[in-house]
Amino acid sequence: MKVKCGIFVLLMLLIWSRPQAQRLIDRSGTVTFFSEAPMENIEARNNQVLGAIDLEKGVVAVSMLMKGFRFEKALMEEHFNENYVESDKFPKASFKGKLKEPDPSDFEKNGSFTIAVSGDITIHGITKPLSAEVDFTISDKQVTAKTVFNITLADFDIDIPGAVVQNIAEEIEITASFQFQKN
Amino acid sequence: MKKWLAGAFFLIVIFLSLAYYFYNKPRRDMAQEDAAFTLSASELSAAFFADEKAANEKYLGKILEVQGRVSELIEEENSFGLLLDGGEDGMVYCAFHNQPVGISVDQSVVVKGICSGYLMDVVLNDCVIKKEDL
Repeated sequence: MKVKCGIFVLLMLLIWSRPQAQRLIDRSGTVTFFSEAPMENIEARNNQVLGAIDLEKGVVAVSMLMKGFRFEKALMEEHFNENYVESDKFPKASFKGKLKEPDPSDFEKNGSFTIAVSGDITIHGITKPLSAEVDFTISDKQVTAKTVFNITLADFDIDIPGAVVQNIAEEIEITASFQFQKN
Repeated sequence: MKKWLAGAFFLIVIFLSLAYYFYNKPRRDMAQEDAAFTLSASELSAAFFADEKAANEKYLGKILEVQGRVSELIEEENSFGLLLDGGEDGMVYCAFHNQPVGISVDQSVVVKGICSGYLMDVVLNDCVIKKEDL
């Protein structure tokens, strides 16, 4: 609840304050997760992920709706929502973090660079610390950000019943990418 | 002996067919299923803005038919859709599987989709256009 409030406040500040060149928002970010397992690989994708970044303060906030993840198989999607992440109880997953020693000049010229980000990720109602490397690309019209990291399902109390263990990996690879249009 | 074998074989076929059907279960068809609620983009935005928890309880996971004015088209690499103007309480983000054809900004439309919840806007997924040019 606290994290949820914190993220909401952060997003409120980012959205309702006067438009600044340094505060960028992407409401169509993409998050995909990939699970490799003996029986079959499981992949899902969410294309309505909200990302907000304050370049001046070096603060990042990401929020997504679990029901927005699309799987190839409808049955897998149902199990994901009803049994694993319980999306009726916990509709969102989110991340809030800070960029490590950001150099503002990096964001002001065209080019690519990588920065570490660290903060908290909340999935299934449980919050854990998370650090990742983010690849930024700056061009005239936009700022793109991409990151890949792993999470352990057990950390978030996501219970995979014994019968299905063969199908689902304990470690999931998550890829997040955003395209922020410059103001 | 033969009868038993035939019976067992028949049951196995049934079981495999069911398993196959469920494994390849079709998605909910927006065109066929009835909407649980029909309302305007402003009403929907207002509901979530005022009380997200109550709005989730009412609308989350349900098929909604939402009427509104198109304020923006979304044509990203992986995300297609449009934003409906919900007034001062925010917008309704309608995500489609493919770029909706022949829809322009300021047009009044009815979109049918599943409510996924609330971020910066109310989000509807698997959308289809129900009516255009009201």
